[in-house]
Amino acid sequence: MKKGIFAAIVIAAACVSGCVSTVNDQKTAGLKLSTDRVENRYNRTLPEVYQAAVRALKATGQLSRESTLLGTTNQVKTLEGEVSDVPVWVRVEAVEPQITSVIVQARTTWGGSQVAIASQLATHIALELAK
Amino acid sequence: MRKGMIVALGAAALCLAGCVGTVTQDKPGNLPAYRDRVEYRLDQPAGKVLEAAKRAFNSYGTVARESSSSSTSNPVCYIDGTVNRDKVWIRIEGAPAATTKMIIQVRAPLGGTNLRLADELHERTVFELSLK
Repeated sequence: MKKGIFAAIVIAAACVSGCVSTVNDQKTAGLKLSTDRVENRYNRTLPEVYQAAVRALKATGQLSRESTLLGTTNQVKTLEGEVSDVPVWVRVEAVEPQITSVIVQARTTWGGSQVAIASQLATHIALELAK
Repeated sequence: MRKGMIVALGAAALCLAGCVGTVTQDKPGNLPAYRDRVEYRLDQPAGKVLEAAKRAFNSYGTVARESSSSSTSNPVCYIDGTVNRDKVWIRIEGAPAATTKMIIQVRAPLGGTNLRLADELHERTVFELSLK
């Protein structure tokens, strides 16, 4: 009986571990146990929001990569970087010509979610847009 | 004894599960168990190689993502997408003395590779570079 439970735990661990999807359509190692992202929508164009996100990420942490996703119907740009040594991903997507969605995702190096950091960066983006 | 086997199998599963390293990461890491990438050197600046590689890629398949990294000392650009059903990642890294390092990684749907496609993409990039 104990052996069965042990085997079930091992199988469950093997299934849960692995890759977690990031908002830039990539994968990162970790566990998908809780919310790790925050979404906001703004009545602004994509370039305006994207520039605000770049400024916010540079001000709060370190920007390491800028990408353009070409395999989607909407125009999508993404950013990757670190805030307080926590990896963050930002997806800026033109939902409509004047409506832009910003999704901020933050996960620790060990794979846990850091929604507080994501929320902090999302607030900075909003403040940059308001300037 | 059996418990030990289960623990060993579980540990092996945990180690094997995860993400496969690609050349579009800042630190591509070690090669997998088999060679799935080829490195080329081109005597052209990185910007020109990037544009040529994009044209070459588009003539074979679909580019899904273009990115540039600002965390490395040399300028590094990445292109990834699909050619037929193979996933392709290209890393273009500017090196001193106007040479550019281009690494092409190809992975087939079931985990194999297709290095002939990498060579074809390289040849096409060289051809695109030779065009004015």
